[in-house]
Formats: sequence, C-alpha cells, structure tokens
Amino acid sequence: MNFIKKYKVILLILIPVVILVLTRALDTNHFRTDAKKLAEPSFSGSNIIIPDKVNQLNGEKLLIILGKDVIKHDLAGVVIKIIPPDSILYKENIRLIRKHDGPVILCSAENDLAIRIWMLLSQMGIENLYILSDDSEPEVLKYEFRPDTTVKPEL
Amino acid sequence: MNTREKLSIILLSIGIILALLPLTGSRSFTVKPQNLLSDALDEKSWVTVDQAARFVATEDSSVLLIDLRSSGEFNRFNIPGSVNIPYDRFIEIAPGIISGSGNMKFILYSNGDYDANNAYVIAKGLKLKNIYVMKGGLNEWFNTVMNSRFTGERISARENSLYENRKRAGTMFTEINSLPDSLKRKYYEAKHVAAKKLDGGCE
Amino acid sequence: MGPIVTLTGLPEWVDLLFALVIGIGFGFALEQAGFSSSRKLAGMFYGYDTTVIKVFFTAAIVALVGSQLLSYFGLLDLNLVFVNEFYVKAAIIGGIIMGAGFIMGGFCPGTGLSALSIGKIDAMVFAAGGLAGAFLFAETYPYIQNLANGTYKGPVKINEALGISPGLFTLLLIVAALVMFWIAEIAEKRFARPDITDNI
Repeated sequence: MNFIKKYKVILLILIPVVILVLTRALDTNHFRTDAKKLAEPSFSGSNIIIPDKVNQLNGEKLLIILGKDVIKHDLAGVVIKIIPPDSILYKENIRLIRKHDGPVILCSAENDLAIRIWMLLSQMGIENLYILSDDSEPEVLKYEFRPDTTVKPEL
Repeated sequence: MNTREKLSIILLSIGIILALLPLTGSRSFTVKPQNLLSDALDEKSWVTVDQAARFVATEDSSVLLIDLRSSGEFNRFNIPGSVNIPYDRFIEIAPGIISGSGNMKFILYSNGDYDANNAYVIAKGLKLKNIYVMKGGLNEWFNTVMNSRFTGERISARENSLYENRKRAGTMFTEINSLPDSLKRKYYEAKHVAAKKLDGGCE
Repeated sequence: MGPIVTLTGLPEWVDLLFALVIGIGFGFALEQAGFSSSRKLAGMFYGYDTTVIKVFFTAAIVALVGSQLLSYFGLLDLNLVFVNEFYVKAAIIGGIIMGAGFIMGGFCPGTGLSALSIGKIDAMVFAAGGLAGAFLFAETYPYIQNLANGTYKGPVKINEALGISPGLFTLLLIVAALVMFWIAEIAEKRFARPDITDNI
C-alpha cells in the first residue's frame, strides 16, 4: 500500500501506457509496421507466379481461389481452398493461411481482386504469398505511342 | 522522492518501452484490416478508361490522375493532367500530396492493373480518401481510347457521345505528348502539385 | 490521424489562428518560467542557473516520447511532420552567430519577444538588433548565397544517420538529457550566485 502511495504518479502514467502498448502489440488483428518493407515483393513483381512455375515453389502449396469460380489451370500437387473474398479475414481462414507451411497462392477470376488481397494479407505480416496470373509481366505496355510530328505548339 | 526524480523515472521507463517497440520511422497501415477489406472489395473504387477520358476531355479540375510508372516512362508520354508518383516511392510521397486536398478525386493508373491496385490498397491503408483505380491501366487506355474507331453504319446518340469523348481525350493525349520536351515540361510544371509542408522551427 | 493542419487541408487563416494560439501559449509559458529575464538565460553559460537547458530539453524529450507513442498507435504520421533541412556549413556558422547573440543579448529570439511583451527595455534593443540582423542578411544574401545553400544534406534525422530505430534513439536522448541535468545541478551548486529572481 505504501509502495502504491509513494509511486502513485509514476504508476498512474506508466500503467495505462504499458496496457495500451501491450494491447496493440499482442493484437494480431492489425497491420505490421513498415508498409514499404512489407510491400517490397510488389515493387519487383516477384510475387506474381504463372501456372507453369507453380511447381517450382518449394514446400506444400496452398491455392486459395477467391470467389466461386472454378479454377481453369490444371495444377497437380496443390491443395485448393475456395474462400469468398469478403470472408478472407475470418479467423479460421487467417489461421489456415498463417499455419500453412509453404507458399500460399491467391487466385481470382478478376486479377485485381487477388492483387488487392495480396497487399492486405502481406501488410498483416503473411509471407510466402503469391498471385497466380497468366501474365508474368502485367506491367508491360503492350502498345506503342506514336507522336504526331505535325503538332504545332500554341504560342 | 521529488518531482524531478519521478519525471525522470517516467521518461526513462517510456524510453525503454519505445526502444523495445518495432518502430521504424517509415509509414505503416493505420486502419483495421476488416475496414481495408471492404475498401478493397468496393466496386465503386474502379473507374473505366471512358470515365477517365471524360475527366481529361473536360479538364475537370476536381480530379487528379496519378501516374505510377517510372519517371522515365512518365516523361515519354502520359495522360494529360496527370502527376507522377512512381509506384516504388508511393508510400513516401503520396500522403503528402493526397491528404488534406478536400474533395479532390485521385485516379491511379499504371501500364496494367497490378501497380495501381497495389497502390490503391496502400493508399486506403494509410487512410487516404477519394482514391480510384483506372481499370485496365494504360493498356486499356490505348485499346479503348487511342484506338477508338467507329465501324458501323448507324450510330446511336450514346455511342456518338462515347466516341466523341474518346476522340477528344485521344487527340489531347497525342497533341500534348508530341510537344517538344521543353514545352512539355512547362506544361507539367504548371500542373505540378507540390507536396504541402508544415513549416517548422523553434524558439 | 495527425498532423491536423496538413491532413484536414484547412484554409490558411485557420492555420495562422492555430499558430497564434500556440504562440501565445508558448510565450506565456516562457514568461511564467522566468525566461523573460536575461540574467536567468545568461546563467546557462556561466553555470549558475541551468533552468533553460532543463526546460528546453525536458520539452524536447517529452514531445519526442509523445509523438513516438502517438505514431505507434497510428494517431500521428511522423512522415508528414516538417523536418528542418540540414545545411552543414550554414548550421555551424549560423549556430555560432546565434550563440554569440544569445550570450551578448541575454535572450534567444523567442524569449526576447516574451520579454519585449512585458516591456523590458533591453529586450526592445535586442529585438531591434535581431531585425537589423535580418535586414543585413537579406541585403548581403547575394554574397553569402553559396554559403547559405551549400553542403545541403536534406531533412536528415539523427536516428537515420546513425542507423538506429527511432525508439532506441529516444531512449539514448533521454539518458543523455538526464545525465546533462545531473551535471547541470552540480554546476549550479558550484557556480551558485545569490538569488536574482526576487529583484527582477
């Protein structure tokens, strides 16, 4: 009792800080620090995988189909799980992804969705995560711009 | 124990806590994952190239297009009125430009769908508002707007307006990007949005 | 998420209003702490009164701790907070001039204005000197331009330059501050002068 009385001010400030920090640190349902580092695979596109290369990944592969669409690729030796995108954050799904020992590959009929979910899960600290895409270089311009040399600037 | 000793202990203890925390000095997502998921699935977050073309053709000042390609690619050509934030520097630069800009809409685009959708999630994770993605990126822009041809015999009013809009935006795109570099630069400078800074200093 | 001014895009006059309110608060606190007395301020250089160093350093570490915690909880984006840009030569030379002006005038710019507002004559002379300096700087700027803009290092942060985490840097600074306060206390005892606060 005497101890509490003596250090009342210190405890009044420190205890709330410690509680807040601990709740934040132990809460797994939040994003990890340093967004840039977590997003790194997306800068080089190393998180995109084409169907032919899936077998080159080490470990047991888990393919998550976001949505109802049936997978069109013939992938052997891959565990397939269908998860509607809006329930990807359900506890059991997150636990399944986190617990899975090996690469997790996201796939959706619309590639945009898999890309967005990839970023979301990566920011939660999930690693070894890929996006299945038919196009290994989705950021290449397939057209060429031809300047019009007859254009005269308005002066 | 006097006040300064107490204050010293408090500061020192919090200092130790801070030293143990994984603070990095760089940005982290600040929203709840569940909220970000609803943003990621938001159908309204996509704009078509036709919508983007309309903003370009009407020179809508309440919309800003953000080009996520490298600065080299941006300088060769870009959609008129856009600013360049290379995707790999998006996390550092974007909040300074986007936050605090009121009701301005920001449309992200890159060559394909990949960088723009990644940047969209990052922007939403950093609590930036009014962010949209131009579906299909520049590939779709070229496909739909630049290569727009009408081949039928009769044209409906709706088709006509769509076609006119594409033609106008396409012509602007070609004209501005065909200007010599010096004039192009002048054009960009006039459009450049400078990152807002807080003035600082002490005493 | 803060900082408020950048994020909300408020009109300029609201920003200025914030500045006015914070400025009044700052000036009031300075005056209340006795910082409008040049003898108290100069005491720091002679060691008989180290209140200035203690107050400013405490303010700095409290602000540092607070902003780091707010940033950890996602309430403040420290990347949006302005960081002073570092010009090596200009900082050294400017620092020497500022230090010399401080010890001769007995005020730093903020405390000078605080003393001016309670009608101190020396502070009026000090402010006039400050304005003359600013005028001189502006007029001679073409000649010292290279010095003023040279050796530019950008808005560097010390923890980044040292390659340590902001949290560890905060702890080190707190330890450094506490050691300094302890030395300051010793200096105060050693160079003690009769209490001057009653007759000013």
